[in-house]
Amino acid sequence: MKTKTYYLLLPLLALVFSCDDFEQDEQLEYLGENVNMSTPLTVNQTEQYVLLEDFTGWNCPNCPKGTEEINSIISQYGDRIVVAAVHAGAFARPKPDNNNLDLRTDYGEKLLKKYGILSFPSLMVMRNGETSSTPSAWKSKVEEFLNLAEHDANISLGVDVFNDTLLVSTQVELLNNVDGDLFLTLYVVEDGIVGIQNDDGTIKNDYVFNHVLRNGVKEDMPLSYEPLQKGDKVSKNYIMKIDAGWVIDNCKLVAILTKSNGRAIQVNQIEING
Amino acid sequence: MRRLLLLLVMLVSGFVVHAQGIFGGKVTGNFQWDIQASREDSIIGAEKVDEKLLNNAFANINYVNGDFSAGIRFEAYLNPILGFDSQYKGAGIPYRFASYKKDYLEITVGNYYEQFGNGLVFRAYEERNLGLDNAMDGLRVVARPLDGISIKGVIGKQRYYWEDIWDSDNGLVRGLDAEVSLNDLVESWKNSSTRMTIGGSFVSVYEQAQPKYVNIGGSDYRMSIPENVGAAAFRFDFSHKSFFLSAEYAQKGQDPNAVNGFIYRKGNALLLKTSYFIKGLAIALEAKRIDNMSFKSKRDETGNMLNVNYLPAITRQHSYSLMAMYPYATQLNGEMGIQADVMYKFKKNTMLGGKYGTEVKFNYSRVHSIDKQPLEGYALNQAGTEGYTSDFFKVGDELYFEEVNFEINKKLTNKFKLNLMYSYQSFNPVAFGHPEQQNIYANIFVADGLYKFNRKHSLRTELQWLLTEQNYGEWAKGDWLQATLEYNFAGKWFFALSDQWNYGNENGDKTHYYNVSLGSTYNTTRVSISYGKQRDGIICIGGVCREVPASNGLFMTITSSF
Repeated sequence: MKTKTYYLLLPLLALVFSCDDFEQDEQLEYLGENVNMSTPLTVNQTEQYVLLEDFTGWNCPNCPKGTEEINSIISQYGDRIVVAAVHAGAFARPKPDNNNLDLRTDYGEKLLKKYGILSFPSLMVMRNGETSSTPSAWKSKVEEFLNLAEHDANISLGVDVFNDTLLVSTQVELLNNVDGDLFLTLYVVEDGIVGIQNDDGTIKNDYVFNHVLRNGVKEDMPLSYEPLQKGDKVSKNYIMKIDAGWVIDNCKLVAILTKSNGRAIQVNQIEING
Repeated sequence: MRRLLLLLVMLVSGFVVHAQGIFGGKVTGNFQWDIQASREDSIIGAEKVDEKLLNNAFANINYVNGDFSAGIRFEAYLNPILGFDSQYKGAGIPYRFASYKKDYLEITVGNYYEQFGNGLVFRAYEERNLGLDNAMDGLRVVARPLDGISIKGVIGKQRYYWEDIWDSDNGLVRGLDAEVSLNDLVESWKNSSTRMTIGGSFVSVYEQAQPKYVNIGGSDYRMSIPENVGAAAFRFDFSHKSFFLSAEYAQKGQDPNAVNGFIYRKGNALLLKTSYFIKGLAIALEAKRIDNMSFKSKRDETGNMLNVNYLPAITRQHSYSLMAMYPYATQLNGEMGIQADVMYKFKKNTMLGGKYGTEVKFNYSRVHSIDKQPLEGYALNQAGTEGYTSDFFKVGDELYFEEVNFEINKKLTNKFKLNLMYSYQSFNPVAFGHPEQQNIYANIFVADGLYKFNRKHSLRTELQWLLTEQNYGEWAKGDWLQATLEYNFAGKWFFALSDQWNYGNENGDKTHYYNVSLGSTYNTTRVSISYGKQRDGIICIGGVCREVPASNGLFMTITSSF
């Protein structure tokens, strides 16, 4: 075929870069309905709390060192530190070696991919998009946020258990004007899960996993459809499903307030007592 | 870097003054500089201009050498004149290109303008008076492998003021267009009086999706946003002797965006044109239907920038200012309309034609909303849903615009030519986002006479009269009268006086908007200066509009080409 005739095939390129059309059932992802029930707000806050998301796994030999560092930070700063241990990636993949205990979550895998995390352990503070795999450097990163002169919001929380349902009441108070939309993410973390952990090459059979992120995350829920300003208080209630595999008395509910770029501006947590 | 480029432009320009040939090629270009000095005037609503002097300027310099061409355009908005977006503030070279033709290919790299068919799926163009420039920056290839076949491919990002588009999240535009002229392709049809062309286009915009949320019936939802939005069009042109028919149909995929309120409904547009000429009579008919066809390369953008496509207006473009007082803007979310033009020239030395002939024109246009019915269980245009259903052939209830124009052009004597026009206009402010305002009904009369004293001296007198009963302010200020005297000397000098008087304003000042202007043309250079008041209004070109704020002061324009 003559060279110039090949140009006649160019329009076929249109088949390559077509368009993304969604079927009706793919268009909207249900986040939850506005819940009219509420429960008293029993946990309030008056200062900046800091979210630590520790990307870890049972087969990660260096991860126990990261856990020790986090425990040290908690012992120093107490309630102002909110931790989620995100079991994700290859190091968290269940195997017969760990009795197939699977602590991974869909949300954790999504975070892993979103932030391109490859090294374990990795700590991300306040969803700032940066991760650190050097536990000795974690404390200073946490202190950057603890030492902020002022904070932008307070989150108050209340929680109640009805059979297999969790009723969560939240109230966000804006202390400063914040540009753009704000979103709430709610998830449950569980303490006291016993399993197998590779600790620097040594297999520990009765390792206690704490702050383990659990499935059933309510992700990026818009706080308001109207612009918000300093002084506004927004109350919202949510229903979450309790998984049968949880020990509810060992669980805490974590609420993260983020901006549209994903960065957290405040976090709080509340114990769930069944 | 910008200063270096500016220096380069000046050096080349200086060189060009003395020699337009360089390295065997030719340098051409043009230049325009608009300067405005406006002062505060509370009577007409003219704002204070802190910097006292505003200006827009541009210079095109192009080099052509055989099959190779290249060029740059320098622009300066220091600071932009009133009515132009402040995001244009600054100076630099926003347009540069190089192009080469070889064998069956024409390749352009850098910035370019292009259009597929009537523009229903793709048009990159510049309309300086609107402050609109969506030039592409990327690559353009045109292949003509056979006689009668043309294939175009484009890829790139659109200009967005002075923003570094390659550092932005604005969408990437890709497009293909193929056109076949059957008469050039088929040997036996080459000399036929019947001519036919068919064409097809496909354009896709890729823009990374950002989370979008919606509340429907008390429940929160996250929307799935399509990252690749495609639009396709098919067109054909047919002509046989004096008869011409053309049609283009376009369809766009799901494109939830800020203009349509984030609905998933697909868009479509249909454009039909036909015309017939015979012995002094010309008839043209046009019909158009648009349904959700706003197509931008940034889904959160509103306004005139970053349009990937162009939806032509189906109303007459007026040059007389009172006739253009209530212009029509194309409704991207939906409209349907018709336009009819009839022109007849009475021959000279006939009873109606007179000694020199008489030209008579009639124009009618009418634009309606389209039929839109809400989806069951949802509000009309509910975000996160298909938005509405629409019967394609059903005319919507809202009349957006209607116009009837009559025009007579007649040369009465060897020295005197007269143009008489009448226009009836019905204008619905909902087309400009003001559903609370009443419709405006206006009758407008124009008499424009040109008297040539001799070869060098001529005097034009223009009278315009707008009558309307609507007088509620903002859009409707009652009756207007305008008179203009323009003296022209040898086509080189002109002097004009005009006054636009809002004598029928019952809710405010009966303001005189006087204006005096003077200009001169020498070879390819023209300078004009005007001083006076300019009322606020809207300027629309091809259905795309811009607000023009009131001003009081001096306006100067210098244009030149080489």
